[in-house]
Amino acid sequence: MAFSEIAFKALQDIVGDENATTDPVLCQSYSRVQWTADGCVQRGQLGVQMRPNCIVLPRSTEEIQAIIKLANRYDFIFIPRGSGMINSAFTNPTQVMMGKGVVIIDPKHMDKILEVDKNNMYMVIEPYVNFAACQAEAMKVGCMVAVPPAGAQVSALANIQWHGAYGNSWISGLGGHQLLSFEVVLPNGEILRSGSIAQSGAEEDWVWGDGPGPDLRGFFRGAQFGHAGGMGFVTKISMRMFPWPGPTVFPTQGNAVEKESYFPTDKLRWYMIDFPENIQEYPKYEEEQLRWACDFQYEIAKAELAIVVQHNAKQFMWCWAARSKEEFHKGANEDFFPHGYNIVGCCAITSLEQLEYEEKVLKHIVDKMGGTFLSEDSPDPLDRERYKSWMRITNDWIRVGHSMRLSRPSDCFHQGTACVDSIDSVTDEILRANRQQRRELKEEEKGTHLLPISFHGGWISPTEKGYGALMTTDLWPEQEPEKAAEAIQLLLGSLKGMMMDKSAGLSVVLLGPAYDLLGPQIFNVHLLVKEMKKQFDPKNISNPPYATTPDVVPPEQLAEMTKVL
Amino acid sequence: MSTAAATTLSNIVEAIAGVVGEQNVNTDIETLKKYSGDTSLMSARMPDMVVRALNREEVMGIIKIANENSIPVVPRSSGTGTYGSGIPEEGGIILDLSGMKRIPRVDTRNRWVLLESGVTFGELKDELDKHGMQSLNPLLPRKDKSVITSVLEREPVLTCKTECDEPFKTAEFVLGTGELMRTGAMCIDRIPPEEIPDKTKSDLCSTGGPGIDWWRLLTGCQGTFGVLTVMNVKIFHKPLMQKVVLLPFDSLEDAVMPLYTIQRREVGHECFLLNSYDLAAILARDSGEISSLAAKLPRYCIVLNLWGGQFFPEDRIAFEEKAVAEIVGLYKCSVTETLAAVPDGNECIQGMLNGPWEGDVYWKERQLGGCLEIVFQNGLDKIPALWNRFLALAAESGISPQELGIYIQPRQRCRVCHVEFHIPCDPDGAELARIKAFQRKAAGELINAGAFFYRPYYDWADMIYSRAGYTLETIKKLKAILDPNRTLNPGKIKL
Repeated sequence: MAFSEIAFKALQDIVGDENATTDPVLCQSYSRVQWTADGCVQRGQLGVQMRPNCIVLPRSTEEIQAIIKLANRYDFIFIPRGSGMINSAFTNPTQVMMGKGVVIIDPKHMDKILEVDKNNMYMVIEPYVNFAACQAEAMKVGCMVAVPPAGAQVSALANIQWHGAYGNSWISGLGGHQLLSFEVVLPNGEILRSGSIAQSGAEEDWVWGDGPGPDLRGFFRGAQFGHAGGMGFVTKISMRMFPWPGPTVFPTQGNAVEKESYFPTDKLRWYMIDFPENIQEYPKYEEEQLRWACDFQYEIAKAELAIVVQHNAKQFMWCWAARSKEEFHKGANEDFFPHGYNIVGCCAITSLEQLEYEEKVLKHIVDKMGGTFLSEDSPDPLDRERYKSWMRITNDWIRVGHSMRLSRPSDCFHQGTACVDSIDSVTDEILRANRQQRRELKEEEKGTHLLPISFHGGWISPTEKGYGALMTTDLWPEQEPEKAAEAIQLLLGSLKGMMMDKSAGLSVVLLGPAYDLLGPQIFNVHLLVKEMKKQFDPKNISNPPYATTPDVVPPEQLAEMTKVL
Repeated sequence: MSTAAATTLSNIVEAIAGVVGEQNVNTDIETLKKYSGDTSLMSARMPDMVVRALNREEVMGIIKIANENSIPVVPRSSGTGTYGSGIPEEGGIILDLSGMKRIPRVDTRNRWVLLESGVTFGELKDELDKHGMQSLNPLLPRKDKSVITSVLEREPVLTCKTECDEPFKTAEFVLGTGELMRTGAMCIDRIPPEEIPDKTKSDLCSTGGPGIDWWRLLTGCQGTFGVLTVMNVKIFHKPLMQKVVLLPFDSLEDAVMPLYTIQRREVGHECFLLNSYDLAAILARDSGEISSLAAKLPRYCIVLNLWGGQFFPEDRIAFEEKAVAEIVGLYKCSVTETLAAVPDGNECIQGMLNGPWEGDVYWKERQLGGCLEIVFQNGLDKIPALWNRFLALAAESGISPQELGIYIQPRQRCRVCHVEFHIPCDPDGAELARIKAFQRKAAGELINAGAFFYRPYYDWADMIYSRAGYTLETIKKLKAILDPNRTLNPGKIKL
């Protein structure tokens, strides 16, 4: 059934005339998310066909429930949206091709931080609250939140439901770790509350995530990449906060791109650590450098130090440190950061004495391993410049003020590969992916339109103080659909490489067509999740084909789906 | 049981014996009685057979046969359940996993240990001692308590560090159909889990996936979604130095801000709060001494283990001690390294932080031979009011408030606290029915007052799910997918 006038009138009745529209111009503006390679490809293939039929802007859980009940009655598809600033095209309305009406639910009006509990370190938020707001409110009460390099303005709720990798993952973990209680309107129109909020009693209590009984975050959040809106609309969550001893307002100076930020050194100290001299040449010693970074991170884990521990690839560092696109390309061409660096941030959570202790241990570890600290007094003047350049923006790892700098080089960014496992394992995946993709670039002449900064080093981001880790490699296509398609082909090639090599990344990549692609090799998990989709989304109207299609996809159709992907 | 049913049972026994061997199938009445209850004081229910499985293939085979014949399977790893999870509500097979004792791999670099379902805390301690590592223990678990069961029940661990709060890494489990499934990085191959780090590119450190976070879904399900066979869990390096200090308080309200502040400033490793009764139950030399010792101890006491870690341990202990002194000064309370009534109390506690309860009678049961519990979670600031309400209800029911215990375990640096109220009782005494009635009444009142009963044991499931909207319906839908014939532990959590 196509989207009907009756359905639209009913939607207007729920949200008010001013909050529902079928205006083609307004709808067209919702036809794609920003700057991602898969979004570019979809746009090229589908063009105006990706335009949704209707946009609604509800104000409450009850309105969303009414919208979803209507979707069931009139058989239109609904797409949950956060801020629309997403590093993938999951929310692009390609479903218009299914012949059903498509309605995007935009939660712009649901932008409240409903509660900040200082003592119990959690915050209750609606879908349109961004990370910048969360961090600002958290710091006022002596706390901090997880900080995504994806940007300050992304929806915190959506990010936590989705990939959720953070500058301070060392203490905060990944997206799934941040989620405590949640409220979701299921695709069948029922409201589910889970965690402590599930139990109605004297008053609402959002303090905790698991129970009563089985921990339903296990299903409704999905795994690493969530369900991408395929299992209803999450309307409220409580998210974790962490201790923060620093100023209640983030200190900044300057303006816009020139903005700089420095903390008092009795609260927070940053360290930029170089590899031993004999392995500094890059790319000759890429593997040695990454292995050294692993050993270094494991030592810090053993010592239980710091709030930020990262290894950043060189292009990743320059994306952040450059103040303009021109400066980025100049720095990249001149190899300003000749290789990746190890970044550590220590914070006086307990006391100044604790901070001094951590610095002492860190120096002991670096010295023992033959590394060196960059500083304003480094012997090499270039090292001094590198240090100053990085220190100017290093606070952004906990500030979320840096917006979408990763897209700066080409206005289009994509992950080359991603993986979650041990520090060692994710480093294996960086090396595997880089080798494979460089070979394809060189021998098969693929990726000719990618920026040459692609496929260097990798981001090693340990989580939970070294109990786990996340990595990404990053590639920069151009925005033209055909050129962006190259990036996607390389990504798919990398996925196949992961399968061949039994990479740790396999356990977390399942979403959409990947269920049918990989599920048969992974204990037929796709069959179970398809049953779940049928149970909770019997009409298949919650952002199909996510989390997966209700039925097994035939091979020829799967080939077509992965081509679009 | 009728003759016809016995014939069927006989056939099933024969089929299962074909999987595990006759010696591992037991139907004699004495054995069945032994497995009909646990330590929970819940009413016993008789199983039809007890089957001992020693590996995953046997677990799969047993469940497959049971599923095809609509026979319930109740997994039991150690039989020391406190909450009735292992009691067979609808008869059937007790699947005894206590013989699955392997600890096939310890990874000190990534800080995990791989272990089978039957491994107990005592056995794990012995193994980890060899590697200089330590397990994440709940407060003095029974020596024969299964580690995996403890993790699945979400028993909180003593350390309040956020990264240690959820020890679950990856696991293998068997669905109600007998099919095998693996969680997290363990899913990337079908080879034995201990071989995965050597033969694949995974170190079994990714908890998420495949597809959904199975590891979360399996916790708190009391074996109704799947039967765990093997799991790797987080461990940590033994510190080079540590030191227990105690902060005594006259009222629970007075302990709230000091405990919040200790955790907010991330001081120490293990940390918890006990009242005098529970502290006495742990420290008394014999059970007859508990009441008199409780009268001499501080009414409430924060136990804090300062942590030297692996580098410059003296320095670390020193700054933690200084921080404690500052907190004590701020809230005008005190800190001590010794208890007048138990001069070696600190050493005793220190010794207990890294191991199970070693006594013959479990510490919660020392006074009267049994103990009923009320278990919930809340923010620390809500707990004093709930405790006072509980004490008032006890007094109304003729139960001495001095003979009740409270244990508060901060989690994730006191983001939330796990709370246990302990009601000692004589399991064979005439008063048991009255005590049970009090427990039920108190549970209902506490739920109404806002206590979050995150582990719906006993008949609490009725109270909780009737207040939890669509939660039960959701869980039932998931159950129908993972265990369509209600083979696994039917009757628990209303499934």
